[in-house]
Amino acid sequence: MSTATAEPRLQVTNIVKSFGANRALKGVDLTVGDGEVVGLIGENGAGKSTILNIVSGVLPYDSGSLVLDGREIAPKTYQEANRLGIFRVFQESALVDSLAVYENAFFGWEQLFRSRTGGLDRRGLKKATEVALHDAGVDGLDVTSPTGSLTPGQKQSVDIARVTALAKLLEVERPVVLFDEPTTALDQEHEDNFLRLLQRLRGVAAVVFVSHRLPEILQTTDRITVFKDGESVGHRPTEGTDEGELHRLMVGRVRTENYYRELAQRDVVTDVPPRLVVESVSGAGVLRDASLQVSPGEIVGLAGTEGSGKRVLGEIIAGVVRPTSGRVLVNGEEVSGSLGDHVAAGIAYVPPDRAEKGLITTASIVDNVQLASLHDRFATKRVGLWAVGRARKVTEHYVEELGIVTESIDAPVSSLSGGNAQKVLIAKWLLRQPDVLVLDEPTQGVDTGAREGIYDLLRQVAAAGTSVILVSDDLPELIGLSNRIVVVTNGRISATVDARAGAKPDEHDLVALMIPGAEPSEHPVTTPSTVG
Amino acid sequence: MTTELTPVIPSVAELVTPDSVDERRPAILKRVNVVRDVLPLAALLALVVFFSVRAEAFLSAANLTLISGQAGILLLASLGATLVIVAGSVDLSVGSIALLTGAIVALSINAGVANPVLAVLIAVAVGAAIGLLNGVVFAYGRVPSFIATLGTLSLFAGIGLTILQGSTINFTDQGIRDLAIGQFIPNIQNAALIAVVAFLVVWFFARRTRFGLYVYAVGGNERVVELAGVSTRRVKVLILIVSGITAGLAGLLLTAQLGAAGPTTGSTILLDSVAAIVIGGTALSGGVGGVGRTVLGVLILTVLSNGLNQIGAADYTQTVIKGLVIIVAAVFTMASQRKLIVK
Repeated sequence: MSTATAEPRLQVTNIVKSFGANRALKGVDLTVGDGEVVGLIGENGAGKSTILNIVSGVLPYDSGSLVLDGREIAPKTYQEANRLGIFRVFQESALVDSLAVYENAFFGWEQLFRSRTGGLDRRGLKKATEVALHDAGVDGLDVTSPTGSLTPGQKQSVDIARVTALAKLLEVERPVVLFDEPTTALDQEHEDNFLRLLQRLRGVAAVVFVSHRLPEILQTTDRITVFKDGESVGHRPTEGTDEGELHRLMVGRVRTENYYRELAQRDVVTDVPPRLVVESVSGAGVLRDASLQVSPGEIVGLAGTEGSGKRVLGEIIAGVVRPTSGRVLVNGEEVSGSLGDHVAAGIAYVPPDRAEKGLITTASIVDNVQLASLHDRFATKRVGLWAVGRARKVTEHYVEELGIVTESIDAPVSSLSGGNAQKVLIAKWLLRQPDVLVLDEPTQGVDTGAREGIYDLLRQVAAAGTSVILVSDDLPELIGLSNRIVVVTNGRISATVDARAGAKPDEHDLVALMIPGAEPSEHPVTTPSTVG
Repeated sequence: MTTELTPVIPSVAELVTPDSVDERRPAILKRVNVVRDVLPLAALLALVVFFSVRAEAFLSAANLTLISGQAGILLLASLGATLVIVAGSVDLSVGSIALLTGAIVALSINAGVANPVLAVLIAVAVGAAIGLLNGVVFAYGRVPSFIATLGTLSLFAGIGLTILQGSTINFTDQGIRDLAIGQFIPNIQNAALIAVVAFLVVWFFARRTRFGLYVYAVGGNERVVELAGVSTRRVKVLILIVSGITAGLAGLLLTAQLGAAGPTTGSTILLDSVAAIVIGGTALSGGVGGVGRTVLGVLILTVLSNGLNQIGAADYTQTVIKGLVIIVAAVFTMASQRKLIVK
């Protein structure tokens, strides 16, 4: 690990930024020296993205100072920040899938590639892209292929290669790189590739690395800065710091033993017929021959790497994806056909990405809550007369019970924080008293307080006899909440891990099961049971 | 938060006991948004004041009667179109539906079948049939509504012109003409009366039935509606049928008002209705707005047009002013929406 130089390259001092009445940054500090990797951590909404946006010229700031190499700067656009020597690797790949790799590589800087006629010098662009990829250690990639055909790992390589290449092109000797960690990761090859690229960057740049994965931060950085609620609450050298300390700084208190409400986890009742039976389903070209039985009140976690088929299994149970073979039974009755039929059979589905699939953000809380139940609970069957008062009453109950912070149930969902919006989405399905509740990444973009509320809720839902299927990339959450964890690898159920309270499996063992070829675990593992 | 296990998911029936709910409670107690709610009303008042000062005849009974008729027909045409736009789609074929309806009605009158009830039935049937075709191509053929209705725009304009053989068909049947220009209530043309009744029906559909909420939801985020287990196809077909019917009725009343159907019947309906909807404050991006706002938009547009005539503004000046008003209204609509995004 290299050490910080005496003179910091980038020095952020007391930056304040407000959006209307909301003070997103209340005076934050951040410094990074040459050849240094500084980890920036904090919960959702702590202000990590906001400070990156300010430093990279995407957002203006209200007050404070921004100093680069001893000079006060105030970039007004991302391109201006680029000229000053500040570059970003964005959280979600900033590449346009429909364009070729070489068209993406210097996107926004086409003026540097003029042909003699004044048009775009495509040949020069291709050449420069090839050189850039080679320099970044990426070989054997056809620069004319559409970017959409690349694997996530390759995209990330291109993303990083463009930063160093653009810096060279703009004659920036040693850039400052702001590195927003991709949210979807966890595939080992991808992970290794990513850490290698980060390591490579360290040699040529000053890096600010934003991540929510603490082990990774501890492994890769020299120093760590912690944000909480728009303030920088701690600066620590990485050496001598541990996860518990960082967590305490991020959340403001020690994480309780009972964070996932393990004490409320009940043993599964096995002497009753299963609530949900999945019989050798296949689908979406990924999942093959998956079978599963879930008892009333049981929480079953689905684990697996991205693309393993775990999400598809959840979607098949929910009715979003139709299985090509096999069947799903709830309370002994086969459920098939449209999503509407699944809803009618007592299955509820909380999708990932609530803004895209879960909620109508322009519509009010009450309209969102009643959307899935208008046809049978809040409106008359034929004409569909709308029983407005009933829906309001029910919505008011859930707003109070789930602690949704809002002025009124008529407020649009777009005015809510991520955690509160997620609770609205969950309320929409809870009011149907589902027999089977499928949740896909239920705490993505949800702050700790609201997370704990959701964990409480899931325990209560399970206690009421609902079978819960939980799909999550957050392994501690998956382990903490589940009674049992089903591991999906390469489209097949490869293992079932017992996770009863007091006998929870270890995160590392689970990862080893999720990634084929990894060394076998010593933790007790049962082979998948067949339905019969 | 505690870890105590209390039953947090009671059934709807448990929550909703007969005496716990006041079913008459208004559904939408929206907070007033100055730009969105007050501005169109203020603009309308300003126009009325301006024209009453500038043109003596503006507030005369005869002129107000005229305005009622003009506004009524435009409102009728805009009602269904508003729902289509709220759902995030667009119906370009409204003008052609009006033209074809007018042509068929005029032809049937001259063939000796002059019955107001029959004429209304013809208008509803033509509009519903074309709307059904639009809807099926859009929802089941997975053709974007813009393209599907662009096709039917040309198709049915062509059929209408073929029926008219390019010329104007005049008729004098008073029963039919009274559908539009008769005054069941003194100083209010029947066209306005019919439009008000249609408005109430469409408003009820949009705000008091579950399909109405689905329309808004589809415009807000179609994927969410599908994942709630609701068929969005039926919603899409339904709104295009409603749009067809209101366009057909507008075509009938336009023909009745003029006592003639010609190649230009309905030619301004598409642009004027979209203008009225946008001026009223319904967003073209879908999910926000409604027929109530469209009423304001229709009144603003009609008063503007009529007032400019009264003060003797040239036709082309009117076109310029109308265009400016649409752009300004759209800018304000966008501004009022941006306020909703917090972060």
